Amino acid sequence: MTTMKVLLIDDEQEFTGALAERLELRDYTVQTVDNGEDGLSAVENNPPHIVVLDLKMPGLSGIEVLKRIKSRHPDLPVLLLTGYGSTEDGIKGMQHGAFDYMMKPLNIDELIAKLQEAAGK
Amino acid sequence: MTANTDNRHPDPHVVFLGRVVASYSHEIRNILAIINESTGLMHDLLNLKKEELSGHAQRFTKTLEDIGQQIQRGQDLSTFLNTLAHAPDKEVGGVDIVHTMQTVFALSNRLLKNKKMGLCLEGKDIKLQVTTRPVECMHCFFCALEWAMTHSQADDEIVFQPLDSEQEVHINVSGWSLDPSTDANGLMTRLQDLVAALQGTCALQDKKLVITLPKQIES
Repeated sequence: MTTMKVLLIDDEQEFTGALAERLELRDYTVQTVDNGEDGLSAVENNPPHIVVLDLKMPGLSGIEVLKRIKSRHPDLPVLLLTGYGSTEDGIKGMQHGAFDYMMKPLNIDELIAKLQEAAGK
Repeated sequence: MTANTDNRHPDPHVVFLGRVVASYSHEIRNILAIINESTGLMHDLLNLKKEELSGHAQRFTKTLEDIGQQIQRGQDLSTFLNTLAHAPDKEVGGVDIVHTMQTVFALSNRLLKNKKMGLCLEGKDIKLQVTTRPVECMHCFFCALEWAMTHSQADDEIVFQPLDSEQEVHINVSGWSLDPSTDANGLMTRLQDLVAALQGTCALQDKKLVITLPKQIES
């Protein structure tokens, strides 16, 4: 069975480092980048099966990254992460084509379930 | 009230405070997310090497559970803090009565504990949405709690009970045991002014303080 490739785009490197390790322990292949521009490059150069994207980053915003990914790869699932207390940003992201959104801090089992759901689509 | 084309609260100081607090709450969430993933990774690694760490695994597990509980506390606090921060986003908007009360109460837990008073929110699972002024509504609940605490003593349990009533919402505040006729701090006057600004009423009925708010404020 092909290992699922996940691209993590989040400017908090301690967060992505620990999360990447946890996913790799569960047999996922993970690439991490800490900004939107590198994230867009990674999508082109090393295509993932799913993108996990933080909404609030310096520079290119999560929503802008989402729009650009979906414009070139409409079938690539993008799971949004948001640290805000309200769900408005997540809902806005889904209106722009995100597969789903999750609030930080994450529950690893819920994340795995979302990744598997995305893989099944 | 000054005309406000972008629908935010008209006081720029309030808007500023909201934005600052929102930024702080977002940072808190990111910190908690890092702690959450780091401890989760420790859990995962401990499970892998259980036979090597058998003597210490229980201590690690207990410590990680304690950290997990603190993460949950911090998560709840930042959610409520974010609600507070976004209250000035709209001068008039939808307000979840129960969630707004929980937001106010969460910030008062330490003070209540120090005074050895309890606080109970009855009916916290009901969905009760009104259209009103979010900042003033939050301030009103805070003032009501402050009034109740001023008229309570140790071992009293203050009870807030929101009730749905067609075009209105009633909030019954009970459990305080001291004489309500004194208003040395002017809290009752302040509370009545706040409730009036929300086009509601506030009155003492037997051993209850009853706040009545319309479900739809008139602009």
